[in-house]
This record gives sequence, structure tokens and C-alpha cells, in this order.
Amino acid sequence: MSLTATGGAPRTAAPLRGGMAGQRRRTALVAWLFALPFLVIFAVFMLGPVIGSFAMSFTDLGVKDLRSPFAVNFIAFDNFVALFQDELFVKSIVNTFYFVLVGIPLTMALGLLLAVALNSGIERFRGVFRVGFYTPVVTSIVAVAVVWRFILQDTGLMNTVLSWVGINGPDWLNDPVWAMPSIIVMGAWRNMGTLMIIFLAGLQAIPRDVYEAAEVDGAGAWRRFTGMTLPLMRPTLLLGAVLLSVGFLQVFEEPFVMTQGGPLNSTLTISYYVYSQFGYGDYSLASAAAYVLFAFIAALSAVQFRLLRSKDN
Amino acid sequence: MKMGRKMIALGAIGVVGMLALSGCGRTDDTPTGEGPSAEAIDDSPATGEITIWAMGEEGENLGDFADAFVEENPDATVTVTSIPWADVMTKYQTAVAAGTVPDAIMIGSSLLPSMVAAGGLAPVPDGVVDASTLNETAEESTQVEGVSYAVPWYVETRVLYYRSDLAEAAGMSAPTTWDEFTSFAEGFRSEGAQYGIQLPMGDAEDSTQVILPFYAQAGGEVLNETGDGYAWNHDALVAALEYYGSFFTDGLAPTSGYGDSQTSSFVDGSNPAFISGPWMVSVLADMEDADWVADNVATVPVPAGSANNDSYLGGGHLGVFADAKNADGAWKLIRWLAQADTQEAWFERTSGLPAVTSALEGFTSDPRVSVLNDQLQNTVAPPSVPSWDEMSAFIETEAEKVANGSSAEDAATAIEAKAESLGTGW
Repeated sequence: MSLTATGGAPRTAAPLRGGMAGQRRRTALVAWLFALPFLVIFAVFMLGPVIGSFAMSFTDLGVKDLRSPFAVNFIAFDNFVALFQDELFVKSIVNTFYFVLVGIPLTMALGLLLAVALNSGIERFRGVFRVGFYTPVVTSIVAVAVVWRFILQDTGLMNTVLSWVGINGPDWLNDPVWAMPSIIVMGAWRNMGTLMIIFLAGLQAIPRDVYEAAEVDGAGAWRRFTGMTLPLMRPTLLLGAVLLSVGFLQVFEEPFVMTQGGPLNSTLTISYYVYSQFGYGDYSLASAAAYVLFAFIAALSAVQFRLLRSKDN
Repeated sequence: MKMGRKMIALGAIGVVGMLALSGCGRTDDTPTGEGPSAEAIDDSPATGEITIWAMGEEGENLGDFADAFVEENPDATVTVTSIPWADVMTKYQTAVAAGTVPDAIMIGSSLLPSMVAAGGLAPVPDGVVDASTLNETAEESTQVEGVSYAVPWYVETRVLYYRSDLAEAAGMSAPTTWDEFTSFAEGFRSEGAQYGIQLPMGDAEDSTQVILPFYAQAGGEVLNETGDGYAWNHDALVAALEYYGSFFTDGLAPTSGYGDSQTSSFVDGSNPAFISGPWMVSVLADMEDADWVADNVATVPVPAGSANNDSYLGGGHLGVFADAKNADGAWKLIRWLAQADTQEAWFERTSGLPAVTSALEGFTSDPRVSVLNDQLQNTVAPPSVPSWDEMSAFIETEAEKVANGSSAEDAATAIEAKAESLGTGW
């Protein structure tokens, strides 16, 4: 087009604006150069597999096709149809939502409770408690699982304690009814620390004088909590809920290390289903299942944003 | 039309850069099921570098062990890469798809069908091993549609472990039939043990490793004669599931399976019997000591059903890649590993039972080995079909239902229907 479009135009001959444009272009080029290594890695190792598995979910790619890609067929939505006809997949959806719908309120409540307690009362030991409640987050799930399995055994600590008050507890992890609640409790215990930290930051951002004013006006502790803390915490609660539901919908580690999806598939989750289908060599079906999970996460996040944001407007 | 759809699919995958596929560049030059194409292996010494992947204890020991081979074949070197069991299939699939294979690989016997289905293994050429010297069930488990893709290296089978001291106190001798097995377990319990027998439960503990033998003991075959379809015998399947389930419904076995307390409840006598492989001797010896094991632990072949007393046969095979750079050297290494005297030396090193039948005879004076040797005469291996993984996970869940009190008849029907819809997976 014009001479100014080439960055190397002589400064004196070019109009002032063109020179600046060239400069900007050069800056942009340098910026792109710096970003290039990340972009390449991102494209190859993140974007590629994401789009690749999306494409795969519309084919019949299986273990046999690894060496002969020409044998792969485009089968449109057959995988998705097959998924929803598979009892096991439907069960995994039910199980996953059981985990999410019970687990999220429980974890949120625990996180908020801990955050409020740390923010108000126990000033002196705050550091100790923060570390204590955050420890489950940073501890290896495999190490934790061994301890929890011993606690939850039919002759374990949990049932021993229950027997003191006359309750004959079940064999928690081997009982189809109790396995999922056990996993949910462990999931809540593992994640409450993260929420505690987020909520604590939210609480500390609320100015003290607002509370003092309310106190002068005669608002009690419960009134202050429901009338001021919760509304002011709305954005923080939203953040916590979204982060948690993205994580909880993908729940995998807890059932993987604690129950292997059993007993009677009562802890089989969607992620676990995806994992086992990959194991059976049915890559395309596994990819399709992964995208169903993606759709659930996107939908639930959208709903949460809508619900928790509505009052701001 | 079909080709058009294929091209769409391929285009979709190709465009987004499925690295595994685009990286390989070689297409299907070795489709599965092709007859033996490799040339016979001659008797000249092996040369060049031989690279091999192996798992677990085998991977750790093979490197030093192969020094003896290198001494006989001075122009050859052996490089062993030890890989974790959990990563084998992923590594295998990636290597085959990308064309970055080693020369040889150790194959867990139950992984063989998946590996053959994924392509990449070369058929065993003539002159590597005399199949008649090998354990028959192990040799059969290397075959897919009549073509052998691997050489059996070692085998493992399961026997009945029980507390001989407690059995003696109760005046009981080892069971040899299903009925005796049930009363044996009841006998322990009436002597004060909490349970009578430990049995695996569910997918996590791979309970088909006892259910499949129960089925074989009742006279069932898993595949039809041509090996191209499941052929569940309804009556035998019902009998096996009922028998398995009865131990749980009668309270003779805990529904938690082995759980985390398999060895501790065996040692403290609260659950004094289980079915397991030869490795348990050293596990128990580590927990207590070797003398305690010698005084208190007995092993016998598993009790027989109406047909036989088949036990589960697992083990390791050795295979060579179709794209191996040094296939000749790799087969020569495998031939050496499959010789009777090498197998004896390997057994002393790793306790892996020789797949060469004659190599076991040197050890039968040891009562434990002779029990294993007896059991090896009667074994059943999981069927060599790719869908077995999924099939067995389904059986495990159905068996779990029976153990929780639902009907064996329904479970058997569900298993047969699942087998019908899965097919063998080829």
C-alpha cells in the first residue's frame, strides 16, 4: 500500500504519523516474538488436543486405528447417541451430579464458616488455623486416601467413635449407599481450605467501619452476617462457587484412589468413565464423553453467573 | 460415499494436528492378522544394540541378567528401559503410532490382545522357540487367530493359601472340592475366626481372577472354538457366580474384598485363607518372618468344581516390534531367555515361574514350588481378545451384585447380553 506500511521507511521522508505507526508495528512484532514460544506450546499441547479430541468425538477412532488412520470413519453424532444409551454413562452423570449438588453447598458452607471464624474470633491463633485448614489442599491425595481408607474401614476409627454412642456404622467405602457420601465428605474436606482462603480475602476487603455503623444502629451478629456480609461477599461467593463446580464436575481423584468407581459403580463419575473408556481403547467415545462433561460445566457456570449476579444490576 | 466420510474424518483429525498420527508418516504396513512374514532366525551370534522395554521387577533385573547373553554374543549390547506397569499401554500406543519403537517389549499376558489390536507387533518367526517345550496355556495366550505374537517368558498361577496351624487345631485338612472349600471356610469361622476366606471384590481387585477360574471349574469356556466370539455357557456361568456369591451372602468372606487388611487379617488369624500367587510367600515373610511362614502357612492347588480345578494363569511374554531396527538380535535375545537353563537362572533371580515346562522340574523338591507346578497343569488364562478388559469390568460389577444378594441367573443373562453387544473387539 503505502511506504509507511513498511517499518523500515526513512524517518525524515515519512510523515510523522506514519513513523509512529511503523514504530508501533515494530513493537508489536517484538511482542509477538516474545509471545511466540508460549503460543507455539499452547497451540501444540493445549489447543491441538482440545480441538483434536473434539474432532475425534465425531469419528470411530479406536485403538486399531493408531497405525492406519485411513480406516477412521466420520460417524457424526453416533458416539453421543451411544453414550446416552449406555447405562453406565447415565449412571456416571447421576453420580457426578450427586457429588456436585451435595458437595458444593457443603464445601461452601464449611469454607465460609472457617473464614468467618478466622476473621472474627480467634485472632491469636489465626496463622495456626489457616495452615491447619489449608493442609488438606496441599497434601497428596494418595497419601491422604490411605489414611481415610483406614478411618472408614468397617473396624476403623469412624465406626469405633460411632460405637461409643451406640451407632453400628456401615462399611463406608464398600457399601453402595454410603460410598458416595464418604467420597463427598472427603472432597469437601480437601477443598474447604481453598474456599476458606478466598472467602477470608473477601471478608477482609469489607471495611470495618461499615460494621461499626451497623452495630451502632443496633444490628445483631446474625443480622450483620445476613444483611451485610453475605451481600458484600456476593462476588467472592460467585468466584468460589464457579471454581468449585468446575473442579467438582470433573471429580476423579477421590473415586480413583478410594473406591475405583465401586462398589456397584456407585462412585463412577463422568471423568472416571472417560478414563476407563480410554483404557478400553475407545478413544472417540471417551472424547465424546469428555465433551458432554464440558457442556455440563459450561452450562452450570452460566447458570451460576446468572443467579448470583442478578441482584447487582 | 464411505471413502468420502473417511476423508472428512481424516481431514478433521489431520487439520487439527493429531500429533501421534501426523508424526508417524508410516501408514499400515503391518495390519494385524497377517501371517508370519519374518524370516527364520538363524544360529549366528547376535550383533548390534538390542533395546528392550520391561516392567516391574523384570525391568529392574533384566539388565544385569543379560550380561551373560552379551558374553556369548560379544558383538551385541542389550539396553533395558524399565517402565512402570501403569504406563505400558500408553507408551506402547504412542511409540507404535509415532514409529519410535524399541526392538522388543515385555508384554503382560493380559495386555497382549490390546497390543496386537493396536498393531506393531511382529509374528514370532520360525526357529525362536519350540512351542512344545512351553506351558500350553501360556503359549495359547500369545496367539491371535492362530498367529503367535510373543514368546512366553514366565508364568504365574494362583493357589490356595491357608493357616495350617489353625486348620490343624480345627482338625481340618485342605479342601479339594467346592463343597469341602465351603465347609473349610465355615470350619475356620466356627473355630473363632471372624471370616473363613478372603476373596477379591469388584473391579478394583480384579475379581475375575477368581471368577474366571470358578467358571472354568464348572466346565465353562469363554470363547467359542474359532476364538472369534464369546461363548458363555449359561449353566456354568450361573454356577460360578452363585458359588462366588455364596461366600459373601453366607458371611464367610467380607464384602470389602481383600481390602487394606489382606495380609494382616491372615497373620492375626481373623481371616485365615486366600487365593493368590507365589509372591505372597515373600510378602508374608516380610510381615512376620520366614520361619513363621514355614510353620503356619500352607499352599495347595485350588479346590475343584464339577469339571476341573483350573486356576488363573497370568505372566509375562516377550514380543518384537514390526518396525524394530534390530529384530534379528531381539529374537536371539528372546530365544536365549526361553532356554531351559536361562529360565532356571531367571527363576532363582526373580521367582518368576519358568514358562518352559522342563525348567521347573529342577525345583520341585521345594514343596511350595511343587504345589505351583501341580497347579500349572490346570490353568485358565484370560481370553486373548481386546474387549476382555471391558468385559471383565462388567463381570466384576455383576458378580458384586450377586455377592450383595441379587440373582446369579440375572447376572449371567446380563453378562451374556454384554458379551453379545461388545463382541471380541477385533
